Amino acid sequence: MFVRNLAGVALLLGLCQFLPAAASRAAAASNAVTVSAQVVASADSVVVAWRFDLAERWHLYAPYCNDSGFPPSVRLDLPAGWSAGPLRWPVPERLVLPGGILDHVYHDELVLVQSLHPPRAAAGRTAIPATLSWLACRQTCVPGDTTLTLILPPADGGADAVLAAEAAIPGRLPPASARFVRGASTVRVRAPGARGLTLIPAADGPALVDLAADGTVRGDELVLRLRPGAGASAPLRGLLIIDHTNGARSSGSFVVP
Amino acid sequence: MKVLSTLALLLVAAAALAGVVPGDKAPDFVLPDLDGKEHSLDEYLDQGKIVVLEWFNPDCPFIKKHHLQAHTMNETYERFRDKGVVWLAINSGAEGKQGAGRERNLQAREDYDLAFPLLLDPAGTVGQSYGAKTTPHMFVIKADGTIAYTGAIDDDNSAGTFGKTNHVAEALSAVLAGEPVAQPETRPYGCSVKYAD
Repeated sequence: MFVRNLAGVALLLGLCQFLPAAASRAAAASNAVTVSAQVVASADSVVVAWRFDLAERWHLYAPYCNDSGFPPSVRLDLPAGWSAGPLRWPVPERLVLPGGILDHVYHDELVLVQSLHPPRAAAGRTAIPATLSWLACRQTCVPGDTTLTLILPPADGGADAVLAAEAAIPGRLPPASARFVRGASTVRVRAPGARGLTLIPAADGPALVDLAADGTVRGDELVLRLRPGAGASAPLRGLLIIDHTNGARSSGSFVVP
Repeated sequence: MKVLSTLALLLVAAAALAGVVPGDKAPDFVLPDLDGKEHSLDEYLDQGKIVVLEWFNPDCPFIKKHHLQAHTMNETYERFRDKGVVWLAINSGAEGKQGAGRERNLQAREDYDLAFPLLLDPAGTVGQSYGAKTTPHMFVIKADGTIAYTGAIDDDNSAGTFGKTNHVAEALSAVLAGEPVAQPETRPYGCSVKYAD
């Protein structure tokens, strides 16, 4: 029933040591989604860029407050002594569908960044199988998964792609860029001088009255209405996107206690 | 400890849920099933029935998960059908959209061996009055006409594995016992309802 593509491909073999700024690539494909991975390794860390290339008009889901779908996942089969950091996600876009259905999604491509940490005595060739799962939607939704095998140490270029992916991951919102004021039934966000604001709440948080209506505004003030009741005092976490008057866009994560 | 776990559950029941919420009066509707028979919510409530609504799209992977890979919906209905529970599947997909139309749903009724009526709402008015966002999106309506539960069928939002908690079964058990539903709202999961543009 599910789209499965277990044709994991591993390219590029290497020798005994992790090489600074070396990269490897593995790839697998399905109809709507083509998946690949690029790796850059230094002496004590490995950074993987998991890349999903999407066919025209298909989208994948971001791990934020959505009405439908679910975000891609990566399940690693790590060798003993290895550990992995969390997936880091770029800034998604809002997708409002008929019926007021709101999702935060990625079109065209999605590159997730993840750090892997080898044991201190790691040496030699290491193979790390990874199962990537996703739900891709256009008019229809198709779940898919595939297994890639990372071969370390990597042996070719490609570090630039990983660094570019890391650069696209939003950091913490600078405190001076926006002010959050939490009232009994609202969270008011003000970024003086902004041309527009978009707030993307995390998947867990207070219940909202109407995120499709409240989540983006022209101007420098956004008011998010909270639904009364239990849970309304939960911290609000998420991502704020600021469109500046000079056409630039900045973004960052925030927490409103 | 119980307070903490309840709080955690409430936090998971998160945002952006427009439409009805637990405690609201369920919007009345009259919709035809695939055989043309009309089903009126108020008539079922007048008969003292508890009504479960399941938003449905036969071509959504999450509907297939609960109707083909497993038989969550039929089995949950069978557990409660002799206890005054009516289960109605509703397809609010607009003509021409995925999984919409009488012919496709007639085939699905057979393929999925549906144990309950499948109603068509191509204009999406009933779906939007409830704020149905996903297929499946579940609602449990008490015999007094108030919403007892909205959200997911279970606690696993993947397309291929299953949760440990059947939220609808828990809500029905509580309603039948005259007790409050412990978790009256969860985040629904699935495909978006394919409303008209």
